[in-house]
Amino acid sequence: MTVQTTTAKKDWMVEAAKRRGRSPLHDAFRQLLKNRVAVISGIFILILVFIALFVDNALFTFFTGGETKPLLAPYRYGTANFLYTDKPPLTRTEDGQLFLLGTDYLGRDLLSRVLYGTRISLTVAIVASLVSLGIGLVYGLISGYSSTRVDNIMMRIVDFLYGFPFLIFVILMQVFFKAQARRGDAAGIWQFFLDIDKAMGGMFFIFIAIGAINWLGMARIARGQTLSYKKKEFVEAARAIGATDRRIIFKHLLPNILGPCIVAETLAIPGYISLEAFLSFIGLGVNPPTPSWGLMISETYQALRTAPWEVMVPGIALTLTTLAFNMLGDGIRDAFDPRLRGE
Amino acid sequence: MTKYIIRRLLWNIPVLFLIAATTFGLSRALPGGPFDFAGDRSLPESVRENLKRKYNLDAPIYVQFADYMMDLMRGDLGPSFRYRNQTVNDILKQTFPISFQLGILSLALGLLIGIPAGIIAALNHNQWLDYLSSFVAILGVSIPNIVLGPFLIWIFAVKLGWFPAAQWGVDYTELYFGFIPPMNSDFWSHAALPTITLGTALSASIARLTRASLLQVIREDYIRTARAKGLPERTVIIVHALKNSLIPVVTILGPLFAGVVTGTFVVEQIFGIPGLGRHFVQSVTNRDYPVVMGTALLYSVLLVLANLFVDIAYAWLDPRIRYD
Repeated sequence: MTVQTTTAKKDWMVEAAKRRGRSPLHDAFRQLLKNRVAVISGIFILILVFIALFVDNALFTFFTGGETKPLLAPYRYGTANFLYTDKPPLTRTEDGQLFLLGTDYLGRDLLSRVLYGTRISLTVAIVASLVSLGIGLVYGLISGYSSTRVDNIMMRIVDFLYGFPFLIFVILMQVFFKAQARRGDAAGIWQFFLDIDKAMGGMFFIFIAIGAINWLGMARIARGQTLSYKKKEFVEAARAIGATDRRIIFKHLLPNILGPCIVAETLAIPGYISLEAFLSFIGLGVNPPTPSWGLMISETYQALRTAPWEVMVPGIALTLTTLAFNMLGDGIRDAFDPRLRGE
Repeated sequence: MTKYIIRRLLWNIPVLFLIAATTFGLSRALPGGPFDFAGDRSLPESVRENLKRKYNLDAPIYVQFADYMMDLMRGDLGPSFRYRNQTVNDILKQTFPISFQLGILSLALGLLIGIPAGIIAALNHNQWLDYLSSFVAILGVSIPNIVLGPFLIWIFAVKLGWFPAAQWGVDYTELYFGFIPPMNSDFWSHAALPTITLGTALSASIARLTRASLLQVIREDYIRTARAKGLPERTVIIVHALKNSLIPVVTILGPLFAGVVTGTFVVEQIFGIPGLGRHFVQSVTNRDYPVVMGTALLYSVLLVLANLFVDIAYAWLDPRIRYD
């Protein structure tokens, strides 16, 4: 302790008071801030969030109405300039437009497209992890809290689904949704979902597909954690004073098992981002011209010999983003792991 | 142990049956049919009807499914609707060995680089070698195949010209035992870039896991005991620590295997390798139902076998784990 204090006793009391107010989450967050790599990754991700929000003024026109215009991006993502196709970075047009990172095979500005692409990747990262966390947590909590018999059945179902080749189901689902969307004559709630999907440029069903795959692992973790906590004294105490099962699950168990689940979810985010890029790459992701990084790569990788920058720009963006999420995830895991803490 | 393996295999039969039923139902639920187009032209209604009758597609779906399962029992996966002169068995026989070679090579690369790298990092904990390999590993985990593939082609095929940029240097007719290719320079030069593309992420995640788990194991009491006995450090690590630290690595080999299959699909597309990968997507978009079923079932069987192998490897690595 290098803090200057008047008396040793006071120092001890201050320290004790500080300790009492620290929840596990708060504690982990303080630990995380000490990790330089994680902090830098976090800042990078915050910048990406800022870009995703303000790449155009859709956030404002959503409320006020009117035409959307690019804010951070120099051009619209779909604007093609057929006089300037496949131009390398730092190309200037005759009327003074600058293509900082070059243009693609339709003469669209790569910088604008790559900036718009943050929207897709980040939305997938956030929504897919919320979907998988939501389903997995509730399923795992119920399974772990229920009687051994129910727990056994619920976990057998998870084991069963684990053996399924989800990749094939994702492909089948995506083809199904795409064909439905193309026909556009569905009825009722179906059409409502198809409209949502269309408005989101084909992202909605990717969320469903990714969420449907990934809750299984989360359910296992949540169940394991629930099992280890449900025999603890504080749960017993809560039951003794007459707390309902629902209250015990959500007020007492949930906050305690949240930490490991968040860690697992953060570590899964890069996988979601790559999965979206993969689906868009094989033509089952977002609808063109929505600029997903995976779609940008699939449109241009065959022109690698003549126009390598067209692949490199979205490729580097994709790699940096997954790298940042991985490093932040590692940092969060270390912060939650008390064995690594030097106290 | 034998009993356990048999029980596991039996438990997988209903799983595989349900997978088959679900895939069958889902693929038939897709709008459109296999004979909507012949090349670019659409077929006349009467021709389509006749084709449907020929392949028994006008029968009720449960009858079709029952027929399919009966054929499957005899090992007949049916004809391809799109490649009319080929059966699904032919297609799998031609393409699967190539994907399998690519997958096995990358898995081997992943283990050969990943485990030593993890050990080196763990033994030099918090020194520069550890930081370097940890950084390379996290970079390797982060870079997606669809980025690494084009990047490697650009450097090593386009700029340096060391390796060919596409194709797989094997004629499927000259395989030994049906899947082992002749290991000549043609094979290796074609295999190098795709294998590195697919193997990088594998070796990176194996290295990270090996490091983390070895770090935990070296702090155990029995390692202290081994050192106290005066065993040389090499024996302590290789004989006592490594085997136990490999348990978590084996755990992820099952999921990693599924990832390899996903990866082969992308890598095959980028490198123009005539493997099974393209049929995964193409068969669905073509509504080529028998090929969809064939690829799905093959993949599921492989997944089941991989998970079984993982469980057996567990018991071998940790004698405390017993299945009865």
